[in-house]
Amino acid sequence: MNNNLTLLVIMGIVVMLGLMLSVLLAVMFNFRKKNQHRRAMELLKEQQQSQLIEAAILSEETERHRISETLHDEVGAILSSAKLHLLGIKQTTLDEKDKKLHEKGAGLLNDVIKRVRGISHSLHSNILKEFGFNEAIRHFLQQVTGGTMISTDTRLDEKYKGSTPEKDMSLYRIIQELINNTLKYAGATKMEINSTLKENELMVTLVHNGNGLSQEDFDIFSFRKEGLGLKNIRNRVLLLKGKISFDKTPEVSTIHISLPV
Amino acid sequence: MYSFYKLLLNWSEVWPLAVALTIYIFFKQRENITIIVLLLGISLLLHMLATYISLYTYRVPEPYKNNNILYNLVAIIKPLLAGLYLLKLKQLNQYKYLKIIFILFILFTICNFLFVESIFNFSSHMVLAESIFLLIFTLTFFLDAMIDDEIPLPLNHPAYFFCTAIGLLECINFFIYLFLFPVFNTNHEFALLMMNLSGYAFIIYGLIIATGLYINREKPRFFQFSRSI
Repeated sequence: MNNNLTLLVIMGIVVMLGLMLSVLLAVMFNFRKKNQHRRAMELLKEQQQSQLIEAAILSEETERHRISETLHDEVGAILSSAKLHLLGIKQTTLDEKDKKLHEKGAGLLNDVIKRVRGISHSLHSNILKEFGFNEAIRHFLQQVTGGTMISTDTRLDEKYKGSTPEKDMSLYRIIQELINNTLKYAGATKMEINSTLKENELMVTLVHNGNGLSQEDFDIFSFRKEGLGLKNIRNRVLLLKGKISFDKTPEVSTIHISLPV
Repeated sequence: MYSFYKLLLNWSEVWPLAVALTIYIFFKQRENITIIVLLLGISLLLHMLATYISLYTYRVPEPYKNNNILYNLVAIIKPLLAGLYLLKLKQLNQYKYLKIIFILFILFTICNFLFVESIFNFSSHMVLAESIFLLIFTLTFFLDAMIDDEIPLPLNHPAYFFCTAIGLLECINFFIYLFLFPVFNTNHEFALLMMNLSGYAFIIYGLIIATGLYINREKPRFFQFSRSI
């Protein structure tokens, strides 16, 4: 009787404790499984988001390419033909007033042809494909600031020979957009673009003396409907798995971009 | 060394609760755990008095030598406050049967002490009812957490620690108190061993709750460490 009672108590405690520990273990395994599932879902969502951004960027690039080709091959050709026709007019038959108008028209036409070619090249950068990222940046900067009061400087790491065409194109577009924004809104008179390649990371810095964006400004504007350019920058950086940060002092504004290459 | 171990074991129903309350006093908590703290405070007071009476009976005046009423009070207050805390959680609030069990427990307590047992004697019925009540609540809490597609509460929520502590304590105490008196009469040594086991279970109970409160801490209440790089 005595032993039976002792055994009953021991067995009872062991069984109850075993059951409770089993429940606790089951809860732990269950939670681990749920966590794994949740992480997998998040990863899938992230991948889907990346794919969507990639598709949007790809379609944007395709559209840019199409517009660029149309401008170059069709509009450019028509303008060149118009120029030929205009130059075909015999100047000897014109009086002084008409000669002046003819010269003015030819000048304007030349200007339009140049601008169309410029737009076509900026939409579809052949230089990026043929001469690489560094040269394309130098060329773009020269193109947009040439003939203005803005002084520019580039210190680009020549060790960087380019990544995949898509990555280079995205990085080029990011910098293109940042330069355009600086010219449009910051009122800068000096601009400098530097790049450094460290192991598998490319760091690009854009420094100017204008009234640039702070990190807070970027976070606010890039989520606004009208902030399409900044939204594109954010999406492209996200797609490249890189980082972008904005730093602002009263004298200097700096934008840092780091990308795995 | 042995005397220190003995001291720890003798006061096993007091110091683990004091550790948990100390953590609460020193650290602000993220989640609202007022009911748990109230339970810890009342339990600490009652267990302290009960332990003092049992260890220093000779110092206590004759009318106050009986500490059974204190254990009975713990057996009433612990399920009521623990049940109230768990019922306040959104995930357990949906179970109607828990609310019915809660009301039944109150009715049982009133009937038991009015008609069956005296509150001045150790009530094995009450201790068993307490164990069953708390096991149902804690098991429902864990099973609900498993059934839910999401993890219903963040893993550092004090409710997990509280339910684990109560579940383990009651699993051990259920059989100990069910057969405590028969075993005392037949196998005194084993009964003492069981009481020691109950003491260890209480230490685990208090320390698990203390861990939960420490993990649930937000910031120190009285001092702030400054960190320099």
